[in-house]
Amino acid sequence: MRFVGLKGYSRYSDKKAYTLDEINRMEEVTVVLNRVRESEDLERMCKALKHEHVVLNEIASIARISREKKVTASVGLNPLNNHDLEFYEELGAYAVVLPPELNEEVESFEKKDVKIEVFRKAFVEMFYKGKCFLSSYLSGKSVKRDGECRMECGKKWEVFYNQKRVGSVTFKPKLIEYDVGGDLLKYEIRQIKGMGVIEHGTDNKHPKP
Amino acid sequence: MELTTNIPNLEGMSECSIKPYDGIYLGMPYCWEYEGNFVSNLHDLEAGIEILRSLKKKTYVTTFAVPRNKDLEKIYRLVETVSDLCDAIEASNLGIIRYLTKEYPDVKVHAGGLTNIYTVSTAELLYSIGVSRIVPAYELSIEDIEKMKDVGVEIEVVVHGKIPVGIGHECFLKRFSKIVGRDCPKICREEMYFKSEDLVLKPFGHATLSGKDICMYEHIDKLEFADAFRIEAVTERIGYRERVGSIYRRLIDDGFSRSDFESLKALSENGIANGYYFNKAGQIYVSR
Repeated sequence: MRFVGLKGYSRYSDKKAYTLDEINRMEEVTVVLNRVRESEDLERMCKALKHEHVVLNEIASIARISREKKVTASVGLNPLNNHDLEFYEELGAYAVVLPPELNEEVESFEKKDVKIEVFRKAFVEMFYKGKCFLSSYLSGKSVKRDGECRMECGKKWEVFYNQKRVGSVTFKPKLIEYDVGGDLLKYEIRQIKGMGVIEHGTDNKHPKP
Repeated sequence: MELTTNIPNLEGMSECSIKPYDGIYLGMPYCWEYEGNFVSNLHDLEAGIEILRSLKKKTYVTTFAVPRNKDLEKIYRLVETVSDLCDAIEASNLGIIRYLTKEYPDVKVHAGGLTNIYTVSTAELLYSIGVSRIVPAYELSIEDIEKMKDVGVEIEVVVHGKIPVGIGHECFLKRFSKIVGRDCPKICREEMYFKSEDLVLKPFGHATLSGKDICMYEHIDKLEFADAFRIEAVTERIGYRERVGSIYRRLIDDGFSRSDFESLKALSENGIANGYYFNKAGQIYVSR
């Protein structure tokens, strides 16, 4: 499984994403449209894709597009519990990506028809993926809407408690490898290589990407 | 126009601090362990609801914003306790929202600001499954929020206070417990800030909030399409909720006052900003 970002629609900058034409010339890729856009727009773009499998980050588009394609609910939707899985199953999702912070509790999820996808390698960040608005607060660029992150978390932050400086801290994302099982496995490499493929994945029978 | 705020525990429920408001959200959504948190102390919550009822205020109960499987039993108990007592339950997790609309169809459900409601299509879907009110994603501009009004769902917007800039699995205050000599839950009795040059953030429980206070006092007319205005005060010191609420109550009833605006600015220890309402970086303030 190879995940590729569609220019204008993928969350991790257009520099690493491909055009619609380029993607439609590829074979067997999963197309990531994980910027949050109106479902009509996402549906139109999905119809133009020849590929059968997409990753989406907007719930109405999951409900619409899953009638025709295999849809993975993005980790950006921040699924955290069994009710989240039930909801995405109800919307018609094929798989749900769990945040890597939940890797130690994957076993606590009830078995459902919707597949659980987990990160075997992931950048663990200051906040849950999909729940960070720091970039837009500080510099006006929204990861969820513009697909651009200014990595403000990586600054050196002085810590003040009761108006007294008590230390400093930084929240640079850390790449962590996990020994975790799920129906599908994902390997995040987006910030290591400046290339179009943003993630690799596989099913759990073939755990090497 | 309904004016709302949030109160984390019984200690914050003075009659003066409630008076300016029409509706109150009870509970601290960012941390279960917060001292006296209504969502963890159900007897206190029932007492809080009774106080609000006696004052004829709308009574809303909030839930933990990022619930994992281990948190579900606590949420079930909370919902079971208050489902017949409150006017609505607020949730910011889509799974919990769906659980509530399915299992408690007679209870009004509000989708909170951390639900990530960015699009009209998301608002439509939530309305179709029974959500009665939404707080659109904090990152949206006024124009984007106003488009959601056509869906039919009630819209609540934050007009003042610190908004979350992120939420995660960890409380960052706890990292400094040894250094400051205070453990959870006492550590958040005093305020912690992260500062980098002129940037300020306020960590609090699982959330990190804007250091600046979002302030739409000067621009309130641009948000008149909304059904409710919220003052975010759940992490604030004593007195803040009452003073800010009184100022916005006067704004709604009597109109703009320069001296009230100056008072709001004085109350904001790190300054004011407009959030994302004007399509700019959230920490910028645009004057009228």
